[in-house]
Amino acid sequence: MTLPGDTSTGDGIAPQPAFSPLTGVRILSFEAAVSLPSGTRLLAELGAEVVRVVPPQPGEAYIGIVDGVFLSKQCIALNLSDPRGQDLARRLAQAADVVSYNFRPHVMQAFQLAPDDLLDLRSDLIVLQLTGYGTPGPWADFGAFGPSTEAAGGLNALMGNEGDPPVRVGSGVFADQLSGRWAALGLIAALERRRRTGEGMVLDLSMAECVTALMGLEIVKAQAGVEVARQGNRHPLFAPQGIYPCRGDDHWIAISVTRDDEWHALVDVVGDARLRDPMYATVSGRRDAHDAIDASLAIWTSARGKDVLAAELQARGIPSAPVRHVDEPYFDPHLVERGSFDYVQHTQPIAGFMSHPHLALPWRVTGFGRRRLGDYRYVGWDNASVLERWLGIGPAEVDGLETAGVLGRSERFEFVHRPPAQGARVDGDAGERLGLTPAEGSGR
Amino acid sequence: MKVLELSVGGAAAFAGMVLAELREDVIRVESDALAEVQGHGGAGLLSEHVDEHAGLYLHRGKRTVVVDLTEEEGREALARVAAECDVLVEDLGAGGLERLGTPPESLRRHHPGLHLIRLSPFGQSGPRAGWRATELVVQALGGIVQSTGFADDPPLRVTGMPAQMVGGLNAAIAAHAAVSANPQVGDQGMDIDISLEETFAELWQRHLAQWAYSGYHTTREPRGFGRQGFPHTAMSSDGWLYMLALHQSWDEVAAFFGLDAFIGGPWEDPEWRREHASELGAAFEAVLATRTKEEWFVAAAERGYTFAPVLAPADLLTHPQYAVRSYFDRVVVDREETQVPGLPFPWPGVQGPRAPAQEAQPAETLVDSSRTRAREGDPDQLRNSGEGDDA
Repeated sequence: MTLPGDTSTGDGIAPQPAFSPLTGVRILSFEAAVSLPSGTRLLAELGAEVVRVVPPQPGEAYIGIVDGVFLSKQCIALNLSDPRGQDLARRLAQAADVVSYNFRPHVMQAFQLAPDDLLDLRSDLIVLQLTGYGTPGPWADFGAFGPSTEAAGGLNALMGNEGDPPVRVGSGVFADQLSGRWAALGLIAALERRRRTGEGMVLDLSMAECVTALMGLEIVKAQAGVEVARQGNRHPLFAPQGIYPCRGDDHWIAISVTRDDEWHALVDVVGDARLRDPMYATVSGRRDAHDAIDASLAIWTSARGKDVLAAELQARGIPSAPVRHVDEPYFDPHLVERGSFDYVQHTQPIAGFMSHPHLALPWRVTGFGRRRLGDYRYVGWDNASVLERWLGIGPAEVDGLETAGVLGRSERFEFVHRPPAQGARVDGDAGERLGLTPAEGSGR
Repeated sequence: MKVLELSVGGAAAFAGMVLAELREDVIRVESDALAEVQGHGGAGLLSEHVDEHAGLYLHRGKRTVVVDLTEEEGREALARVAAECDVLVEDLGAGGLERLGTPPESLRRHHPGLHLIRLSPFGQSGPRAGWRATELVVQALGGIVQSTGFADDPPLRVTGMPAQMVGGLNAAIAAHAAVSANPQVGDQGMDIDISLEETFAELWQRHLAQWAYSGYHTTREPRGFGRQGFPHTAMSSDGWLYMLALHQSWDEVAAFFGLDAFIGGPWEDPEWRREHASELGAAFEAVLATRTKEEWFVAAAERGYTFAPVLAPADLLTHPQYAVRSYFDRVVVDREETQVPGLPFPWPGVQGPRAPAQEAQPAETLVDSSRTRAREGDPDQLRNSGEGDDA
């Protein structure tokens, strides 16, 4: 097994020619947080030139860097409170194929950069507005974070165990990353449509509706009079199905028995005579006795390691898997062999290292590699190159605009760790375990 | 774009549904051999959710053709349908097309430019490629599960089949990317291998990267008064209210709810609030019961707070926010109308108001109509192996 490290390029990440179907597409994105940025990053990985527009004031860098959603993009800083900044934004929009933003509608209206304003500039422009709940509607101007839209979009109501309050997804950015993918789909489809018709369009995307699209089956069932309730990890057709404790600190294994022959194979390996009860031979019998079966299985699994046990059960044809902790994927032989992570090379040290791993494009395309992820670009680092290439504005004029405060630029950013979650374990040697190259003078 | 769909689980079906909603021409292949290949081949995602309810949602807007893929004649018929398509999307698991007897080279026999989007639980390669999977198994490896639920409970999956649907969403994007890439690849179709484990892990990548950058592990939150020192979900007069206060202090939240007795002093400390959860919890319960979840949500939003009502699927069907945007599509079976989620953005020909209800038809009827069209010289030439070459 090859251990990961900052020199690994992974499977399919260079040196083959990169898969770049969107080469030549320009995206001007007024973006913040995670939702839209995750979608435009995906398009950047497909070859689009994505320019992130931010305000001139330096902001916190931690989440932007850690989420990885600003990778492979350029960054310009425009003062949109200044009419000259608004004028520059309009000229850049005219030079773009796509203008996207994830601010509430009134924000862009105030700068005369609302969808209609933008289409007046260029009728074949594609405009994407991403908000929590979409427009129009009574909630059109309500702010939202991803987890709020998961609750409003119908997901939380069905999350958790019977009798418990609704549970939220333990990601924090589930709906954000999800809506980013919907945004990428809308934009790439709109680009293809423009290629066929020559027409621009406005995409008005609702994060809550992105979540609701995952609930289609439950929505149909609700109309058919089928009870839709929280059922934890259980399944309406498979039994037993659950997550069971394993040896180790907070280690668990997921097991799904989907057929009777799998059940018999599981009973053989567990060796608990109580599980040979003929009542358990059918799925309905096992569902009726799910609690008792779970108790027996938990006793058996808790004495075993999750990885060894999952491999053993898979060898017997039983769907199962270890529940992954955050440090494990980097060393997982399957993901290492598939090159699931790209090690981003930093232009300035971050957290004491010159590179860090991020999930790369999760597709493999025959005959092509994947584009290497480009490093995080901070406030205004690409003012000069973007304005030169898109608008023909020379360096002297850019300097003047920076001096006048129309453009902003910050030479360096401060990477300050946010505090860990309450009670969370902290590994002080993550960088060393990953084989990252320490930055000079970092003391590592 | 013309798309051929070979689906057993929810992933390829979701991809096909999304592309159909975007008004692409999607042809779904029905064949008992598909489930056979996936269920018994040792790899692949089980068709755990695609029952009649799922079918109404996932298979709308598509044409359907029934093919007996256990016979060479049927496999040849499939290759001829594929010859008319730009993209094939499938979720038969690693090596599924090969086990079906329709490997990529045979599907491209009449059309070398056919792009194949191949969805599988863990990808077409790697030590885990042959593992058997369900939605729960993919989620366990893809992440999120470990940090979902309460600290004193086992980890919890995300309800429904989001891993399959997000994989399908990636496949729909990949289908467009592949067609966009035609000038780059010429007349050579590409295989695009998509792992559901990897596409699901992306929804958790903040946690992965926080370990790489800061060494932080994730935790499941304490029950009740969790990380923010008050419940994130509590009961209003008519249902659950979700309370996310990322940028508000406790004093602001307490003032918003009129909990003046709990402002300032030791109450600003989340640990103190957790230690006095019974006292504060009772006050919370009493005040929340004075308004509906929607009333609290609107009042909070007017202050810039990002609370939200916890809405159930049935609530969404009649909700004004969704109605104004004509979000739900309608599918009609035997004159009975069912609402299903549409695209989360308006699309020409789909929304505003949405298209007329789609009449869902059983596969046999569609096959009959396909046969009829083919006999009448329809260029699609949809084939049914039982009909022979004249179909």
